[in-house]
Amino acid sequence: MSTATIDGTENRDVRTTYSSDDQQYLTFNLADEYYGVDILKVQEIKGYTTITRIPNTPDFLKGVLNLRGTIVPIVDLRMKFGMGVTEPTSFTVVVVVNVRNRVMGFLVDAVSDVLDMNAKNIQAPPDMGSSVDITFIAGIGHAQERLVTLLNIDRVLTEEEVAVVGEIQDVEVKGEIPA
Amino acid sequence: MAVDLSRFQESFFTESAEHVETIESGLLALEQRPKDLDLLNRIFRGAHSIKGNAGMFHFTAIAELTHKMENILDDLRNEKMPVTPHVIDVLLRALDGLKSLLDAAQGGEAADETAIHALEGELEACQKGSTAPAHEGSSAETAPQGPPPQAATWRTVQINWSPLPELFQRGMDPAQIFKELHELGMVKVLQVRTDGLPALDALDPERCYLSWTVELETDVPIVQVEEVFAFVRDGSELAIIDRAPKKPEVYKRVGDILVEEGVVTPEQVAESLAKQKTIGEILVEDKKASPQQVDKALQKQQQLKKNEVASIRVDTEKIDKLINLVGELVITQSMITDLSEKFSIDQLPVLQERITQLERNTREIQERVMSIRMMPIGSAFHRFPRLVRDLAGKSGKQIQLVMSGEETELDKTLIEAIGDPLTHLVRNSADHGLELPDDRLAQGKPARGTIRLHAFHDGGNICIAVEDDGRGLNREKIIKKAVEKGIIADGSNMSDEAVYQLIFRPGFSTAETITDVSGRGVGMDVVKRNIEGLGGSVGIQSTMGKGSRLTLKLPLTLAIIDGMTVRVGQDNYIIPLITVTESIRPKPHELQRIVGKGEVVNLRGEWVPMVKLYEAFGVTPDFTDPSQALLVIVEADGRRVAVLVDELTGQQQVVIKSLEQNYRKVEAISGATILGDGQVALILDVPGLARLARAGHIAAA
Repeated sequence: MSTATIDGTENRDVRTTYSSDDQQYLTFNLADEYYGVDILKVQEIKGYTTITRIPNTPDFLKGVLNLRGTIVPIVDLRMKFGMGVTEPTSFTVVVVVNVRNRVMGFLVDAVSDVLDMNAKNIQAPPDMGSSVDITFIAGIGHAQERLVTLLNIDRVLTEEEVAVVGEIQDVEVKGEIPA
Repeated sequence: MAVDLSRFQESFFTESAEHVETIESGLLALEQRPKDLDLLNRIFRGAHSIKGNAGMFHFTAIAELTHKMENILDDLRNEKMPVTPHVIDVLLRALDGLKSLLDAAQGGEAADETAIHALEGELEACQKGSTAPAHEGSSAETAPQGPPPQAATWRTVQINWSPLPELFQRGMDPAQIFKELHELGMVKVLQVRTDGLPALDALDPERCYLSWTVELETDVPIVQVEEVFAFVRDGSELAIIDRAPKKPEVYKRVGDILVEEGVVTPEQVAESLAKQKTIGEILVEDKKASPQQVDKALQKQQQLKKNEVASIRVDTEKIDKLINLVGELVITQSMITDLSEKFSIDQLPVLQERITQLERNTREIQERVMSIRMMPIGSAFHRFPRLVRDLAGKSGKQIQLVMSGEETELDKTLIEAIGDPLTHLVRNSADHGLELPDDRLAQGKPARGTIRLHAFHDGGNICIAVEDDGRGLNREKIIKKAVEKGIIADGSNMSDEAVYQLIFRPGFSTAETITDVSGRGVGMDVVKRNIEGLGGSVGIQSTMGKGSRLTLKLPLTLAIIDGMTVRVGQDNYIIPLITVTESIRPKPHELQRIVGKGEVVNLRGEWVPMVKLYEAFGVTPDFTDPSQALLVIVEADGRRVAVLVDELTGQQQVVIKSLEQNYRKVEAISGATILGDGQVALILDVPGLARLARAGHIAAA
């Protein structure tokens, strides 16, 4: 199966069993949890710089920053997942992704690796009842001894959270996104 | 072998629009100077170009109408008929028809065929009417009686031509032939037959294997067509078939036939046609769609039409300068690269100097690039001579239009956006401002009223003034009306400017009579809203009995604004400078808390609501006490708001970046910009702040 692993102990060059079921994920840490996003959604990874706050926006919206002339909103993923505010360290980075024709940045504690993941090693997200919102979890991946939560990055923010023009409302992280 | 013409169509429409403008302004000028042959030639050339191009694109209706216009113009040129107001009138109306046809061809609403047909008839009648008495002999020659001369000889000629294979060796060029044919009339079909082409390896590039079929619509004698082929006739197969004169019987509309048969009169047909409903009206009547839905669809259609033409014509000169500047930029850049490779600290002054040069290059390029979007405002003024002429005709007033500053440049999008508001203002001046000739004479004014359109630069703004020497605004009447409508309680203490601004309120109209042009009380509010939407403002000056002057003040471009940077705690914000009237540090006694309405500040007797930015935006400020901080007084929607900030940090031009592109609209923020250090700063939306202040939910904190 996949030969590259999270801790990168095996050599990628000996990869021989690559199949079309394999998909590459960029993995990153939030506190001590591992997450992955489809690498094709990732535009670039940017070091942490000062972010300009936007007033009257949800807590998880850290603000905006200047990406070569484009104004890009930055989401603090820890805040979004209820893990407290990200305290910037030298490892803190912004993962810039393309979400529904928008460019957005996700603030994460550190990026770790690019992972080849076979569909066989991905489980559907477990049913956690109504207490945990799982609409944005694409699945749980196994890589070595670790579990990686694979995010459906398009669904991390709801349509209301990114696109509604007009009054600001208290947004609940819930609900289906219209296609 | 059909060539795909569609990609040229866009330029056809742009060019035609330009020609239409030339013709229109030309005709209006011709009325004043009927003997100006240069002018006539210019008009003729415009019409001729449209006709030729339209024929190429198979826009037959356009070509036919222009052809008929051209006939009259030709007669005018040859002095076969005099330039009369009637002729100009007919030509102008035909031009309107042409515009609607062009619109239709461009995918707009279908043109009214009946109207076009009527116009063509009118053109013919006009030409016949004027030609006949002056040149009885000549017209009698070509058409002894009955149908007008043009209709009799205007027909299709089919030409089948298979030239001699050695055509090229004889120095003949088929393209030249077609060009000559095109000059004779309208080439409707040009078909090439390629069946004679051998396989590629057997092909002799110096031989001609092609043959052509041409359908030419023309009014010249057949001999003239034959002459075109005089030099290539030998050895070619040539058949010139003169088809019977185009009979109108080919296609006739029911109405025309009924008229011919004497069943109904043309007036009756027109009357019935007027009853014809648009698809939207029918759908509404059948309850298949609501009027709102239809309106929305119509708006969308308009919008789509607007989206279509998004090209811009730029002077080559501007482009050349830009290319030169980019060249300089590249040189500067390589100089800096060069320096950085072997840099030592003693070369610092050299580096600084080169960076200064880079700065200069960049600034110049920025200016040049902005100037590409800049166009002379004259293109927005073009429509007014015609509009004023029509208005004068309708209302029985004598109006003279004086325009100046047409060369003033501003952003293309702005030019397009101010067209309608300006039209409204000019209409208003003509309709309500100016008096009838008798009234004017009675007041000791010249019978002919004057409307002035004047554009000029004023700092970073452009001002457009619409001025008339009519009756001026009536302060008492406005106040009376406003009280009647419940807009104000009492106007006796209001300043003149404030009273005049009342006419921009929705539903306000003081005109005694409602005409089809204005007076319905919709419009002035729309004008103001449109202008403010563009970041501009509308000012009014007026003197009773002397006239009034409305001034539109607009930013030069929508992409860059002059901003005032302010600081609240750690955050920087930009306030558009055009909205800032002053900034003050209030004294404690000038501040007042009004229950339920938040805090207000006394500004020379006027109580102005206060927006505390730190509260509105949830920032930790340096000062919470207004008497230690600063109040920036801004104005939007005609209301003033005092914005509490810690400090004014400067003034600079900022490039507006959209927040919505990647995020969404945020209340009281109109956009963002990037400061010199690469940081993002938010631009405050002043009308939004004013709304916040009115809603009062800031003061609740």
